[in-house]
Amino acid sequence: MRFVTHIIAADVRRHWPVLAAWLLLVAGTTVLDGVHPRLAADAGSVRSLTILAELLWLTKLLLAFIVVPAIVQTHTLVGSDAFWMTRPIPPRALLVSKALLIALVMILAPVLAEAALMVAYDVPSGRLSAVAAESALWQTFWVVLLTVLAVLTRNLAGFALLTGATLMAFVAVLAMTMALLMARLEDDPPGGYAGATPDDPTGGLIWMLLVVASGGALAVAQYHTRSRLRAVGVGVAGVLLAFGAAAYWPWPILVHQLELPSWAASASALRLHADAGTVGTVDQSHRRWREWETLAALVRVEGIEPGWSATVALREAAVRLPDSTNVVSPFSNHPSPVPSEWDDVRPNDGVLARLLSVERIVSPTPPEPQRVPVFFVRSPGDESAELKRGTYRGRFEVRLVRQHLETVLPLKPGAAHAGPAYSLTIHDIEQRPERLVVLADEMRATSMFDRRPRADYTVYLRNQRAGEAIRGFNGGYLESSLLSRVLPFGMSAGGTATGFAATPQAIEFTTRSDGAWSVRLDDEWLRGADLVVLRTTHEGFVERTLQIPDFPVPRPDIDRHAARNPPPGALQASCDVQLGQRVALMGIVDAQ
Amino acid sequence: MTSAIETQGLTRCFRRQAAVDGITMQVPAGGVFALIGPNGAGKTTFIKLLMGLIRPTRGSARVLGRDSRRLDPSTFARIGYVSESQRLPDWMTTDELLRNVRPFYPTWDDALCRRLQRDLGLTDRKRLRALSRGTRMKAALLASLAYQPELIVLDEPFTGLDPLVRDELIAALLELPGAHPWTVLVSSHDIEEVERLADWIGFIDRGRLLFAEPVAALLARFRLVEVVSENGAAFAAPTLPAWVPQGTAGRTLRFVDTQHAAPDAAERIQAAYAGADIRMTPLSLREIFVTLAREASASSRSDVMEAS
Repeated sequence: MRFVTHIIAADVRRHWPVLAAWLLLVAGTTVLDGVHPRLAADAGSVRSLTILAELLWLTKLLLAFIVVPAIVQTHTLVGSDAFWMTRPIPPRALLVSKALLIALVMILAPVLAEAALMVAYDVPSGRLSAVAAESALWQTFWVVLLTVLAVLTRNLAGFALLTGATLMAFVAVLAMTMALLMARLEDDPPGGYAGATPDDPTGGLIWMLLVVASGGALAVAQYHTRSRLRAVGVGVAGVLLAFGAAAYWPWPILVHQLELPSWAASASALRLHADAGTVGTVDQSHRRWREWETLAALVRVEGIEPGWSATVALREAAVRLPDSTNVVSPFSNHPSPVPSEWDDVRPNDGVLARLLSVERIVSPTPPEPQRVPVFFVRSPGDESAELKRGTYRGRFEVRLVRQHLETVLPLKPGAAHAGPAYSLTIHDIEQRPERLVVLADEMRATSMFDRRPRADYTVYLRNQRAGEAIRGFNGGYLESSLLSRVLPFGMSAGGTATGFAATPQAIEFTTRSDGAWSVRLDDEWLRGADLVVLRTTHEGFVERTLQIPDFPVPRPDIDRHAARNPPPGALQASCDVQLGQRVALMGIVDAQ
Repeated sequence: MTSAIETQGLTRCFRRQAAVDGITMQVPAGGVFALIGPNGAGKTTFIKLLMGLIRPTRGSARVLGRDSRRLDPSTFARIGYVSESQRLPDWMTTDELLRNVRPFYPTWDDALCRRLQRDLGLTDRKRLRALSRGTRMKAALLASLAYQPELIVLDEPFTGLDPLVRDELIAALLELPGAHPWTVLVSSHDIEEVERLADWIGFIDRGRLLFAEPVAALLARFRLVEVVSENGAAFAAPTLPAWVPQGTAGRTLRFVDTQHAAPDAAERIQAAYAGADIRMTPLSLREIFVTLAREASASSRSDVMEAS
């Protein structure tokens, strides 16, 4: 221990200017992150501080690339001419001293700064600990990566070269993977959905912990042997192990606990209904998919309790024709929102109206019926092809979405809500042509260790007397799109959907729409208005069967198609392989 | 006689080129061993192998009884290593350097440190990077002597130093407390730099150790032989392998007898050049070194010619 403190003291003496600069930057960015949202009412200041915060973050990022190699390479592990190498310094003491100093400066200091910010926002201690633990984990992850690059190089120039080469290799691998995926998507037909599973960050956590451990093992090997070959071997083996362990980890310790309501289990609840008369085809925009035809119907869910809405996803479907031919849909499909008996036309509008105790939800876009894909069939290639009719039977996954009232705030500056994971403080309200802007300070504190599903928050401007509510959109400030949110060493360590974030918000409520749905936000309307924050969580799913008699199937070469189709179980396995990415490219266009 | 360093077939290759080629030798404890060789002979590589800074391709070395590949902190606490190519912590002053290394050595002697610091004139408070090369070497030597190591390894410590600084460094080594059994291994490409220090000399060329023996034995072994023809007749070239030709000037044939310590060395010369006037004079270490270097160079050239 005496050697450890001695080496740390020597390193601090050697590098105090960069260490001080780093700590000042950590303190500065923390203060800025704390002050910034509270100036939400002053758009000019917010924009200036946003730019300043980005510049500070960029400086911090660059400094991190200097501090870590500086500390490590004071006692360089590469080459044979370093002064310390023939000194009686135990490798373990050297490694521990470097790790301690880096951990104190690069991990503990930023995490403590973020914790202080959370204290300022009254985040409860339990949640604060979880968020801080996740931040520490991310921070450790990035720092270990930098440390690994530093222990394998002799000086800052070598470190920069290796970092650049690593980044380029990463980009090349990413580009190749994307190219392969895109090529595969080009060849794949539409549809394909693996089915809902509760979110489980366990695999990601295991991967991250093992990668950190691999980096640590690499450093230990390098400190003890000073053989880059052995050290890299240890590191590569560790990373491969991390991928394997994350993929096959059998204990989902962080799986989100869903609160599927008891009424949902009843067969009489959540019945799906669709009429054959609403079935139509939707075009696929991509030429590769044009050989497939998507049949969609207006599906409605019945027997859902107030405060809940649903999405449905096709898992399997078959149409039995009068001649006993069974035509099976070869693909499943991704979830789509469907209206319930509470909704008029647009899914969720009625549910929200009831929850907000208003008659209608004002939206900039007029409500239109939305069809849900229920069947896929090979395109006949001839629009005048004969239709056959049969009995449709589809198995659907019905995902339940819960809507909660998080808070109701009076529409006036100073109104505030402080929840454990979410807070909102109104700083100012601006009336602009055709819209109202609420300038607010919003805080979210979530972590991968939360056992409940991540909540989405939406803000509504409501006037109960007028029976109207308008959904707000964050339209003012740039905050969420900036680089510091997705790259290392930003707030909440970057790159995560979870973490702590305090941001200024300009929530816009626009009234620009067609005449039938517009609302006039005059003083009279606003006098009776308040602000409602809704919390939305996905709470699991049940399976339901949809039957549609007299279901029309465009006449393709049905017989051959039917004969080729695998049984439903095998069908799902093939669908599982194709999960995911396709939905973004499908671009379903309503044929009507 | 115990050995501070022992090597057995020590070899280090860089790609296919052997920088150190099968060296087997011993450095006796308590003496000063000078490893001499031209630039690029493999001295620094040999010393780095001893210090465990690089790993041998073949063979082994034991330093203070430990395998050089497994030198641990307790062994390094008994070794003082100073190298021309060593990167010093340039951001430190001499005092900071001493304060920095001191806690690692249980045998650190403050009084010796202060005395050496004074003798070497290391009172400057500038950072090492701002000091002259000679002063930096003095600081490095000081940081390696103050804990009274059993073995001091100096790799080309005097290269590029002015004679005054060189003398100061040598004096520091010579005036080390006699009660402590110091062993010094010092490498140099210039025999003059180390002849005042050395008890033993090893000569290394192209990675091979050509010989290693005590200085007294070496001085006894080499003689410059001048054979003067009294009647002007030409002499045949030296015939024995131990006789290294030095050329002919007028009526005088010169060669170096490299085995003159043998009891019948003089008689063999007399027999070979009967009737001639023969003078035999001792060589200085420098002359011996030059003779060997020339011979090595000539043999290298002939190897190349034979190969071609």
